[in-house]
Amino acid sequence: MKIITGSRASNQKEAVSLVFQEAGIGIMSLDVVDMFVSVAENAKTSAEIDKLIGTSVRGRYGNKASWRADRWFVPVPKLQFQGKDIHQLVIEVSVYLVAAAVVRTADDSRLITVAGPVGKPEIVSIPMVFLHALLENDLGRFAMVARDAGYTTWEVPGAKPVRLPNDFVNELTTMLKYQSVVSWLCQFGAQGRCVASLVAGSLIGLAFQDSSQTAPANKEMVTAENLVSALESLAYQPAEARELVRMVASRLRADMTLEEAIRLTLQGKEWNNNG
Amino acid sequence: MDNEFTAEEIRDAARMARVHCPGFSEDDFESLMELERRINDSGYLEAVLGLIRLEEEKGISCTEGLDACEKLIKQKTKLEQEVSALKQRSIDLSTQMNNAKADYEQKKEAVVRVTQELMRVRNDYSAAEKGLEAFNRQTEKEKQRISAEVEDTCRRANITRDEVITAGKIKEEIERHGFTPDLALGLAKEFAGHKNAREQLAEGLKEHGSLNKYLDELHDGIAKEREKLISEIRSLESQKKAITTESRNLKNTLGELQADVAYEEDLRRFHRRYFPLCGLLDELSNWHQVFFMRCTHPASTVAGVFDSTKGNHHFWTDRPPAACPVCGYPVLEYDIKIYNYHGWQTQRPLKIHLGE
Repeated sequence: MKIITGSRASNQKEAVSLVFQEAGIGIMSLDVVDMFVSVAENAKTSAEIDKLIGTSVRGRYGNKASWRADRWFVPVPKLQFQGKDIHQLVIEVSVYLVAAAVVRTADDSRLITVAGPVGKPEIVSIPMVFLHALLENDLGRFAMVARDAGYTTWEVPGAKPVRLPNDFVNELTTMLKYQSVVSWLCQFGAQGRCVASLVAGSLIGLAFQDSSQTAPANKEMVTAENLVSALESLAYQPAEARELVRMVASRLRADMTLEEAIRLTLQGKEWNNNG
Repeated sequence: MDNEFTAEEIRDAARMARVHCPGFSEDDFESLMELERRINDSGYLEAVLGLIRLEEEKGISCTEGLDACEKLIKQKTKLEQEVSALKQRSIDLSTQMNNAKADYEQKKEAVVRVTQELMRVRNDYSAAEKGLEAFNRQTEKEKQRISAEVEDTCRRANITRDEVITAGKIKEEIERHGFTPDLALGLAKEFAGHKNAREQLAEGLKEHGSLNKYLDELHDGIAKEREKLISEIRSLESQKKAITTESRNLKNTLGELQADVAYEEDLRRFHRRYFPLCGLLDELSNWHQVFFMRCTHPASTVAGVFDSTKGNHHFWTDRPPAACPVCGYPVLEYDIKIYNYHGWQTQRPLKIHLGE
C-alpha cells in the first residue's frame, strides 16, 4: 500500500480520480466504474482491510501510532481481447482501496491517504458468442449451470463454463439497450478503444455467420484447427497433420486463406523431404 | 471520444469477422457503417417502409415507384420554379398596384389642393377688382381735388400756368449746365442782400478776375487763419500743461505744510500736557536708579477688588526696598504694569536718561 501525505480524497469521486492516477490509467467513465461495484463490494472484508491499513500505518509511523480512516473501494477494470480458440473479451478487475486516515503518534497527528490494490484481481471473461446472444436478447440459448446471489455460470459450447457477476450482466444488458458495444468500450478509455475494433468485428462475423455460405477454401481464413482438418481430409494422420502445421507455424499469417496455408504446408513438407 | 474506426481498425474488425463469416470483407464493413448511418436517419427508414407499403398495398414495384417519384420530383421542381416566378410576378404586380394607388392618392390630393387654390385666386381676383374700382374712383376724386387745389394755389400765388411751365424750363436749363436748383438759389441768395447785386458781382469779377480765383484766395486766407489758430491752441495747451504741473507741485507742498502743521499741533499738545512734570522727570533722572515697586499684601488685594483706591500700594524708591513703606508688608514685586507699558526690561531697577 502506498502512503501519500495529506488528505487526498474526501468522497468516492476523488477516490476514483486518485486511483486512476496511481494505477496509471487514463480517462475512464464513472459509469464503467459503477458497473463493477459489485465486484469491489466482495473485497470488503473489513477486518482484513483494517489489518492492511494498520500494517501500513505502523510500518511508517511506529507501533504506537493509532489511526482512524474513511475508506473507499474503487474497481479498476483492464480490458483484453483473446482470440485463441474462442474469441472472448477478458476484463481483469482489480479493487483498489483508498483510505483517508488521521494518524496519531506520541508527538503529533497528521492526515495521510493510503492507496493500493487489495485482494486478487477478478477475471471476468465474456465470450463473443455470449455477448452476441446478449445483444440479440437470446441468452436462453446457453444452459445455466449454476447461480447464486452474486454470480451465474453459463454453459457456452466450445468453451469453459462462463461465470459472470449478475449485477454486471444486468448493467451491461441495460447499457447495450441504449448504446453500441463500441460506445460502451470507448467508455473504458484508450484500452477500450484498442479492443473495440476486434470486438466489433467478431460480433459482426457472428451476426452474419448464419447467412453466409460455407466459404470455399480459397476464401476461408486459416486457423490451426481448420488447417489440421483439411490435412486430415487429405489422408494425413491427425498426429502427422499437427506436426506439419507445427513445422510451418512460423510462416503462417492470420490473413492467409486456408488454400494458401495448405499450399504452404505441403511445400514445406516437400522442402523437408528434399533437404 | 470519436467512435469512428480508422482504416487500420476497420481492417482488424473485418479480419475478426472473417473468422466467423469467411466471405466478410472490408467493403462489407463499410456498407454496414453506411447502413448504420442511414438507419440513424429516420427519413430513410420511413422511405423504405413507404416503398414496401406501396408494393404490398398498391402492387407498384420499387422501380416503378422510384420512376414515378423521379417524375414527380421533376414536376415538383418545375412547379416550384414556376411558383417562384409566379410569386415574383405577384409581388411585382402587388408593388405596381401599390405604386398606382399611391400615385392616384397623390394626384387626388393635388386636384383638391389646386381646386382650393383656384377658389382662393377667384376670391382674390374679385376682391382686387372691387379694390381697383374703388381706387379708380378715389383717384378720380383726388385728381379733381388736386386740380382745384392747383387752380386755387395759382390764383393765390398770382401765377399762371405759363409761369409754372417757364419755371420748369429754367430748372431744366440749370440742370443742363451741371447745377442744381438749390445751388442756383444759394448763389442767388448771396446776392439777394445787396440792393445792387449785379454791380457788386461785376466789381468782384473786376477785382479778382474770376470767381474761381476769388474762391482760391478765400481758401488760402482761410487756411492761413486756420494754421494761426492751431498754433495758438498748441501754445495754450503747453501753458495749460505747465500750469497743471505747477498746481501738482503746489498741492504736494500744501500736503507737506499740512503735515507740519499737524505735527506742530501734536508738539504743542505734548508740551501743554507734560511740561508741568519736567521737574519730576529731572529729579528722577538724578536718581542713581529707580525701583517701581508694588506691595502684594493680600488684604490690600481683596480690598482693591471692592475699592480701587484701597488696592495694593505702588511706590518708587532709589534703593532696593525691604518692606512696603505704607503697610510694612515684606513681600514686594516690581510694578509690572509700568515696565510693560514702556517696554522696559522687568525685574530690574531703572536708570532714567533724559534727551538733549
